[in-house]
Amino acid sequence: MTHAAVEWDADRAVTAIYSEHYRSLVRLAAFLVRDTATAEEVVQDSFVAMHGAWRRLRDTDKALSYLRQSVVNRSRSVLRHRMVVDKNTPKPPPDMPSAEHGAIIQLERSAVVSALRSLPDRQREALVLRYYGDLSEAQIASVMGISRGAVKSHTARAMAALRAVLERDS
Amino acid sequence: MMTQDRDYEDVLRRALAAAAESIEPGGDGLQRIRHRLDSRRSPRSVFSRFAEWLDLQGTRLLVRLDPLIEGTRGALRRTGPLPGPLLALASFLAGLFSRRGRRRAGGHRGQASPPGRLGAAGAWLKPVLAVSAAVAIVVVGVVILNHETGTLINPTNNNIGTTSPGSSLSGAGTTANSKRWKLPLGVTQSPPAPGQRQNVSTVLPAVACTPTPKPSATATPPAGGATATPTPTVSGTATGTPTPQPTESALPTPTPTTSPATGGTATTTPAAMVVPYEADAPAVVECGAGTKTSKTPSQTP
Repeated sequence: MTHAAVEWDADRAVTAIYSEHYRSLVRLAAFLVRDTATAEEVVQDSFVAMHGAWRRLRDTDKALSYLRQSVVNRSRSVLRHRMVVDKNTPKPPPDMPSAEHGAIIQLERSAVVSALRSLPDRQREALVLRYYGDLSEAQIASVMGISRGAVKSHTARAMAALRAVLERDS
Repeated sequence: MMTQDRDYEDVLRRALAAAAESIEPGGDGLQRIRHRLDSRRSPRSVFSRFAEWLDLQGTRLLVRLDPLIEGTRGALRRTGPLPGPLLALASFLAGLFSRRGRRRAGGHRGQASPPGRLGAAGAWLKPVLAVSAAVAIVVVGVVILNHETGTLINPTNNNIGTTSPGSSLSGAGTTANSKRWKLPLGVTQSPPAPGQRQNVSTVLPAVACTPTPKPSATATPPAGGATATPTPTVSGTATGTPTPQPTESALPTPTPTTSPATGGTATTTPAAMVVPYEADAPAVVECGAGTKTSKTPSQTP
């Protein structure tokens, strides 16, 4: 297949997957990065990466799996970078709301989502992929790049922590 | 217990679904993706992506260096006041790192792109850059080492050239390759004295400068003119008469162990010979006032 044909095929794949999965991917990323605008950026970057990798993907299912994995990895990068930013920037006054404040408030309307936010990153990823993305343990393991046993462990610990938080609050 | 877990799972599933309903992405996502793809295809974007990648790597390096910087700051605080230039350098470096971190941290907030958007180019660009950086470091190290080795040997080589002013090949010592050293013919190497450097030159305490009868040792006179040409042969041995004045040796005064009881027959001559070990240049052997230039047989045509 020539380069132009691959490009054309990749463009078509991007359009097709976008219309079907873009929204759910943005929501998944928003649970991970806790910010809708950043989640969109993450998903768009993942689509661009998928377009570049289409020559070896060439399959919608593989592309969707690639997209999920890319979204999770990029969300981790965003969180890591945000940690550095929070460490190096001076703390704003308490009465000054940050730019992401409104988006975070949207997500924290539910007590469960608020409790979910208090979990460690990996546990939150496992729960979101399991109970929002409806992925199997094998798929979660593939997306997170860990073993199935680790997925079980993360999920069990996350559920226990979530239950403790919810029972304490209630 | 299991039913309670199921309840929590259902609660979590419903809560996540309800929260996700409130998240509505913008409608221009596809246009933005296409715009990024178009800008990615342009060759100019390679440099911008490389700059972004460098920026990201700088941030990562900053994160990794953060404990080191903090530790250095703590150590500086503990050690107390530093000397002026060192203090200025330390404060400059600390300010540089902190400014860089703040600028990056603040600059990224307003940007539209999150980190890690190097995309597919990063997959091959990062290893290539890492390998090239490692190769560059090795090359620079080898060049520096070569330069250092050259500066260690060259001064002695100059001395060799200046110790034989009467020789017609006095410049050979300075221009010869200083890395290839070899004993000339007829001279044996003795172990160096404790204060001497081994690879530079060796003072031979008792070397007989006997004229070698080899035809290649001296310039062959024309046929029949053996008596007409005064060949500067060195007669006698170096162990014969100890000359009191020091010679032109580049080395510091070799400790003469002349015993007065021997009555002129010294075991070691103060006028020691400086024999350079040089492969290509002809060896210059000094014995008192006479200088003999001998050529190795391999150099004779």
